[in-house]
Amino acid sequence: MILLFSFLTLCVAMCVYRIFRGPRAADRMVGIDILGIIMIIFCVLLSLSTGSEWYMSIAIAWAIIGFVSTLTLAKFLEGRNLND
Amino acid sequence: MIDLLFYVLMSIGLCFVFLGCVGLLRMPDVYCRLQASTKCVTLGTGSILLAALAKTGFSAIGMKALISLVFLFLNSPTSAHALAKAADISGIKFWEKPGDEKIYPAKPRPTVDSDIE
Amino acid sequence: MNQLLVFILLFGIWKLMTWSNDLGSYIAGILSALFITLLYGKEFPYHPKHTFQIRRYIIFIKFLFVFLYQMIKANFVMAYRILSPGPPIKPGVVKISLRLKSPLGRLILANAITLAPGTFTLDITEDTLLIHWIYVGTTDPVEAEEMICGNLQSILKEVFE
Repeated sequence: MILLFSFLTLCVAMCVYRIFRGPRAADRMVGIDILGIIMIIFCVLLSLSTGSEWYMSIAIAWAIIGFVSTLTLAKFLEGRNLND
Repeated sequence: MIDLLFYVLMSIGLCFVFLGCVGLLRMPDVYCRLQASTKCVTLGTGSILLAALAKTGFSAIGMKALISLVFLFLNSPTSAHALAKAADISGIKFWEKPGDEKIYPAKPRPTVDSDIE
Repeated sequence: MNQLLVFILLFGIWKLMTWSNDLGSYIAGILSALFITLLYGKEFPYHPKHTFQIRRYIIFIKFLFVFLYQMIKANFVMAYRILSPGPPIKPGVVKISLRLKSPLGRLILANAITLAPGTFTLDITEDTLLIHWIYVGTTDPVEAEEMICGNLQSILKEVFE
C-alpha cells in the first residue's frame, strides 16, 4: 500500500510542477483540475487501507461538487487576457 | 481470484493516472494538455474505483465507489470543457508544428480570429 | 407523477449511498428526499411517452458498451501519443453538425466526444459542435463526423427522441 501512495505522490509532484511553471493562467488551472481528481484517488486509497467508510463519503462529495471550483475559475478567466 | 482482479484493476488505474500526469508535462499547449490529462486521469480513477468495488463487494464502501464513479464520468468532461472554452475565449493560440501548414478553425469567433494570425 | 419519480430516484440514491438498515437512516432519507422534491420536483425532465419504454433503456445500455470500447481505445491511443518522442500531434479545430435536440442527449454526446479518441468538445451552438482534434485527419464536416463520433449520434437520437 505504501508503494501506491508514493506513486500517487509522484503524480501530485508533476501537477504541482505544472502549476508553478505553467506559462499562462489556463495551464495552472489544468493542473488544479487534475489535482482535484487525484484527491479522489487519495480518499479511496485511505478508505481501503484503514477500512473506514467516512473517507469514501469525502470522495463522493469531492466527485459531486469538486468541479464547481473549476467552473468558477473558468468563468473568472473567460474574456480576460492573463499573461502570467 | 478477487485479489487478482483487485491488483490488475489497481495497477491499470495507477498506470493511466501516471501517463496522464506525464502528458500534462510533455504536451505543447493548453488544449493538448487538457486532452491528455482529462482522458487518462478519468479512466484511471474509474478503474481504481472499480478496484475498490471488487475488493469490498456490495458493502458501504463499494456502493459509494459506484456512485462517485457515475458522478465523476458526468462531471470531469464538463469541467474540462468549461476550461477549454474559457481558454479559447481569452485568446490562447493553437500550437502547430513548425513547418506544417496551419489548420484554421472551421468558423472562428472574432476573438480567436484576431489572435491566431 | 413527476414528483413521484423524483422522490423514488432521490430515495434510491440515498439508500445506495448509506447502505444501512437503521430506522434512523430511513427516516432521514424520506424527510430529505421529500424536502428536495417539494423544492425542485417540477423541473425534472419527464416525458410521459418516453419514460416507460423498455426499448430505450436497452439501446442506452448498447450505447454504454460502444462508449466503453471507444474510451479504452482512446486511452491507448493517447498513451502512444504521450510516450513517443516528439509527440505525433497535429492539432486543429473541425466543425460537425448536431442533430440532437434534447438537452440531456446533448450533454451525453458532448461528454462522450470528450472521452473518445483524440477529440475534445470546444463549443456547442444551436446546430453545430466545434471540436478540437489532436491529429486532424480531414476538414470536411461529413467525413469528420464519420471519423469522430461514428454512430453515437444516431444511437442517442433513438434513445432520446
